[in-house]
Amino acid sequence: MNDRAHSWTRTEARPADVCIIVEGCYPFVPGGVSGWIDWLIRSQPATSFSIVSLWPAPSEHPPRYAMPANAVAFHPLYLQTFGDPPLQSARLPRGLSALSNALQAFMTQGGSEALHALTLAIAETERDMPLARIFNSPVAWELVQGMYRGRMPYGSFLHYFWAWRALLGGLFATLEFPLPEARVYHTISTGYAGLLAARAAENSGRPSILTEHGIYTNERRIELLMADWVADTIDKGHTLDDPRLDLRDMWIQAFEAYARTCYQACDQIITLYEDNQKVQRLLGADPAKCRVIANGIDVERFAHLSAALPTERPTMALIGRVVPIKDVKAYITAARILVERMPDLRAFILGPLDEDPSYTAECRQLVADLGLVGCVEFTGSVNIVDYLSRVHVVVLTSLSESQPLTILEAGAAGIPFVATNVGSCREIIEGRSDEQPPLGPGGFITPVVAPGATADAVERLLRDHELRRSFGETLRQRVRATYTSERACKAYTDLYRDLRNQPSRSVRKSPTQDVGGASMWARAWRQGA
Amino acid sequence: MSEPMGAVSDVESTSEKATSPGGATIGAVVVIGAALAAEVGLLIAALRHTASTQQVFATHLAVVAVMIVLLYRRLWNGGDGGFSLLAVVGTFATGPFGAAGVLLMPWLTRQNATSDALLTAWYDRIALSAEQDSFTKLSDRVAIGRAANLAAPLPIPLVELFKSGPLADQQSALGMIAREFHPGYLRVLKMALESVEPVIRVQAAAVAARVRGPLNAQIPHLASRAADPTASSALAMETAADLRSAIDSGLLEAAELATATGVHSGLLGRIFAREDMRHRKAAAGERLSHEPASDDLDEAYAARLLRDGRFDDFRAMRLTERRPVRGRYRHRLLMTRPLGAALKRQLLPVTVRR
Repeated sequence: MNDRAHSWTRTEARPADVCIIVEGCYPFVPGGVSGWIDWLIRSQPATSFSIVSLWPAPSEHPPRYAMPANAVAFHPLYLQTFGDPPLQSARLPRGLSALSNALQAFMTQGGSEALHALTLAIAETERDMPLARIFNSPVAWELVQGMYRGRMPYGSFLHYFWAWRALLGGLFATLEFPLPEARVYHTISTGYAGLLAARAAENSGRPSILTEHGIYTNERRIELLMADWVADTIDKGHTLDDPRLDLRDMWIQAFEAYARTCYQACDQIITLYEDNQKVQRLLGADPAKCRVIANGIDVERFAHLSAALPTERPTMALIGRVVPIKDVKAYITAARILVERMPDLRAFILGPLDEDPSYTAECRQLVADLGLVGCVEFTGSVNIVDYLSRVHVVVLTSLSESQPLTILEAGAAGIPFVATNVGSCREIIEGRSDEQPPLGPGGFITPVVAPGATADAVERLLRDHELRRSFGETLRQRVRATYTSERACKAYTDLYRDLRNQPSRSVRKSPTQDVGGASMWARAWRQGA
Repeated sequence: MSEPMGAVSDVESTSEKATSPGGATIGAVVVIGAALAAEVGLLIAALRHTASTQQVFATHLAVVAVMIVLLYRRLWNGGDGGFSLLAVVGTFATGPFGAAGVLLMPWLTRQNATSDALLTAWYDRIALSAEQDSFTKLSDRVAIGRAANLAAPLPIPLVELFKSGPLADQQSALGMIAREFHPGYLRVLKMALESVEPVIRVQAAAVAARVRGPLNAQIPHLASRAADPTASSALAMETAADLRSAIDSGLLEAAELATATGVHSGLLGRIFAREDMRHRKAAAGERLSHEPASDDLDEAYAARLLRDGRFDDFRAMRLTERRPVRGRYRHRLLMTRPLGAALKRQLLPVTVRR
């Protein structure tokens, strides 16, 4: 499988039905979105897929997923290796100033029009010199100086230069990548993957869709606002509304511009839960395009499980990887609070321990420090079906989630849930706003980083058998009604069928169709079509 | 316009000094030239033995005397006598050699002086009176951009921001808290963790996870600050507030939580014991050493008095105010005179008794 890290094609003859565009996960990272993509491809055996996987540089890790039989092509796209070997000297190509302006406009605002204008400007410049040669030539030096003067002449040029290289390297790599033919383009995030999907829609006239698990732009914004590697080149003190652009703002603006472009270009914008639509709309997504397709599970796998008896040792469980984002320490602290009230409490931690060994060691130390060695049990990776019959309440103390499958699995087994107020936890536990008929709560929602509140909620469920049974049953009904994998699978089958059969939109004539990677791909598309 | 004009005249006078350092006016040069000629004549006469040694010395002294008189007149008229004085000393000590050396001095000095053109360019630059070159412009823009923007509005209080501020500003504030963490931010971080906006909750959770380490690492520093016996009560109260925020945050590990709780409790005990002493002295009319006032301290002290059932002390505290008098505090009753006198009689024994 190692050779699968390189581009390969199983069948040259026909274009794939769906081109999945994914950034930074499948097939090299296990779990999470990668697992979902693997499920999606396998759940649509009659549909052929090609995969474009975006990475900063070639991955040193082997793929973690075997390619499904209906995956017909795999293409890696490396964002930070763009550009030919450096040129010592170069004549300035025509249209350099137009390219600078178009880049400025695109990276500030984004949008389909700005993308089209940028494509035109690149094509004009490429008449004299390919973009890949420009990027490591004195021409790029002229370009970066011009953009620096235009955007943040008061900031540090050195820092601007490197930020510019990183941002534009990724942008140019995405714009020049020879995209495979497909009838539908499906990106799993905004960012560079979303930009590629937008370019596909713009150049081919074929439909593009987006499924966002988390909100990519928001995740990048959080990272960038907290990042130590981004230098603050302007002293803004503690003012938050200083209009001067700094590097953090530049990065955030660029990702917002890419997201705006993707939202405008995509025919459908799908999330796993309603709350995320609000953020998408804030970033410019058209509400008419937004819809929810929730993830689902195989409920029959859990249907036969019997509930833990009231006479059994009171037991709660956290199902998940032992990593900081799950805030396992809050769970352990909640266990410590509960043990004072229920001395025979048992607290399982059901999940792999090897992803962050130092954090696992800290958690084990905390268990020892708090005197919980006989109470808290780290099981490592297990089949949760073997444990759920002994669990009265399942708990999630995560700092961030999108749509956690563990709530669905516990719900399918009829076990009530206590979860922090992140991602779609509230929506699953308390029901969507349009749920008909409203089923009521299937557990409790607590604030993040609030072990006391978690302990209170768990205690209430552990002490009240009837409440536990009622919440568990509600959650089971909700999962069966809304969160089955069959339902999610059918939603995508219908969606792909409708989009595949949709006639192509007319494509705006662009000089890029004669030059560079984009044009090569467009030519290939025209020939294929 | 007055400033540039002043600057111009400064530059011009500097320029003049470059040609005539230390008062080397034409008059002075003529006098020294004459002295030089006389001294050369005397030297020749001495070498050829056409004049006796006494005649040579007498004439030399006469030349120097004339120079001294002229120097005196120059000083009397408020002129710069530096150059002339040097000439007198030089001529007196070494005769024609000294005079010649002093005459050459303006020429030597002129070689080291800054040229007019450079000075004018420098003036243009600092007075912003001429077109700047692109490098200077760029450098100035960078410098100004990195400096704090004095025209920017004042920062919004973070509590208000997290109650009703724009989402983007709340996100920026959380970023700032993550990058420049201080226990004082824990209150707003807690608000953010309970925000109705999922975006804010998620980011706050990420910040909480990130600051957990630094917060735990700060506990020993806070403990050493709390142990400082020289810290004022107000400063000690700040430390206590930081410790309280850390304890309430839910982010401390077990060991740090135990340390913080113990230190906080001990610190408050010491602060309140000191406040008891201060109030007793104040009620007795003693002057106290100067300490910065602290509303937080007063509130905390009042709460402690109520909690301990010391209602008389509480009333005494509330009915007085601290006033600085010649660098010291004096407590004053906030009552009309007859009522105040009655109350003072009632209150004083209570506070002094302790």
